[in-house]
Amino acid sequence: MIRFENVGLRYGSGPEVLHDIDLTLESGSGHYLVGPTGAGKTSLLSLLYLGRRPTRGLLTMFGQDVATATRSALTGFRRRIGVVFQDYNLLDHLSAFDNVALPLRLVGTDPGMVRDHVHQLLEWVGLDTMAEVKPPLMSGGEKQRVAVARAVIGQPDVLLADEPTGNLDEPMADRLMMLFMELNRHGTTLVIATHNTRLPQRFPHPVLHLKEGFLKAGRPW
Amino acid sequence: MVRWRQRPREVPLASDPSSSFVPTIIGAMVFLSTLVLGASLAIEGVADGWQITGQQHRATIEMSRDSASEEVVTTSIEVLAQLPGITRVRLVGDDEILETIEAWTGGRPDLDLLPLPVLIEMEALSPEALRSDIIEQILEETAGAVTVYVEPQWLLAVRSTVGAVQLVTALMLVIIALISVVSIVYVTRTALSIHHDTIEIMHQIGAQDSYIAIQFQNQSLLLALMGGIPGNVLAIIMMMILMRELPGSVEAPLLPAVSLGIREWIFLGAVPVVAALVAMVAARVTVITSLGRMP
Repeated sequence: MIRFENVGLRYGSGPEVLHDIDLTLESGSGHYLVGPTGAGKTSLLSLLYLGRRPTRGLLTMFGQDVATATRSALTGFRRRIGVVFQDYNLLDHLSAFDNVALPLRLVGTDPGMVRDHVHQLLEWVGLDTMAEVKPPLMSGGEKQRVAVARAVIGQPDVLLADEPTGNLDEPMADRLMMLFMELNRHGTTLVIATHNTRLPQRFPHPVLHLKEGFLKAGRPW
Repeated sequence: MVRWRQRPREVPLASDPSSSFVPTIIGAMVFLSTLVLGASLAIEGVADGWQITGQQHRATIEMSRDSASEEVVTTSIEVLAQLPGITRVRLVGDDEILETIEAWTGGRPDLDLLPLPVLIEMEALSPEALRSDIIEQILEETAGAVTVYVEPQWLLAVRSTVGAVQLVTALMLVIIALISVVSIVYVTRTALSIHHDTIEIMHQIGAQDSYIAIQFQNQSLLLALMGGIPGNVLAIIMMMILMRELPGSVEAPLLPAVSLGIREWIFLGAVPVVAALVAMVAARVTVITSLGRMP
């Protein structure tokens, strides 16, 4: 489904931040992406969610070369990818409800269905009473849960999460991880970038270890 | 009870500084456009009254009804039609003549009691093709003595002045439209810059450029209407006052009344709608073009 061949990434004319990445993510697989701060986890995720295109090498997604894909094709791909950003990337002027509803509205889902799905999911992440609250009035954990709800509401083929449990207490973190695992069991490809060594032990999946922009074999711990 | 919930705009354009700038600039532009267009339509109306619109130059040939048999008239028309530069020759019907003089006689006169001449009207693209001495000379053989009335020189001057004024007003409308479009492009680019982060997030979630563009174009349409309608109303009120006051202040009985028909008023009323549509299209094209440059 997703294949990296000798992929490199640099920002502008700066140094290369990802080097010679070779990686295949099969449909329905699950991986943890680990590594120290500055290792390139967020950069690798940005290639996966098509925030950037590789500066060298081949990245194919859903059977198509990302480098040559048209803008409309990339939009189609992005709709199949759910992302939980490290800094949440919520729209501050929209309520929790509207933030979560956004992916469904972009594809023209019936408003009644949007309302039902969003309320159901907000209830699941424990924010049903905060549907009308806007992100600036939420805590970090609450924003994170809204971001998770937005990422999964469209039942994406690929779910990418950058430190999805960073601001959550353990019971809520486990609850969200169980949601991710459930989606993974139903065929969603999962990539979770984390510093939390507890997660791979509690919810086992293969680990991708990134160090200084290179993908290393085996776990760092 | 189901609570009605207004769908929010993902790009919060309503809070931008452009929310006050666009109505002001479009309002001013619509005000000017309405006045300029109104003036142009009024001049066209006056020119219509004098029958000096269009590119054709005219001459009228007057024949005595006694000597102008049907055969003479037909032959004369054929001869005149063959002259170089002549685009049209026609016999002016009696009904048309009676209708024209009705204004002076105060009613429809009896053709048998009034010694009206037979009139032939000629049209040419250039005034040089309508020389009265040549026409009189040519018709002498077929119709005898005739009188030829060619447009006087002053009318030619008025005709060219009207044409020039209309050209200038058209140019002014184009300039006003360009200023409006440039303003909208500038405002839209500024808004794109202000909301760059929001747009990036929307792209990451899977928003198409057209989905984002709709928000900008709708906002432009709304703001342009908010400014354009008052500007238009103000200009129309001003024109109505001018048209009411103008005839009394000018002592020129030969001047035709400056007035606009329903069709012209509808044209003027449509100015803010056209301006809003132009603003909408300008915003859309700007957004689509700018977003197309993003990775």
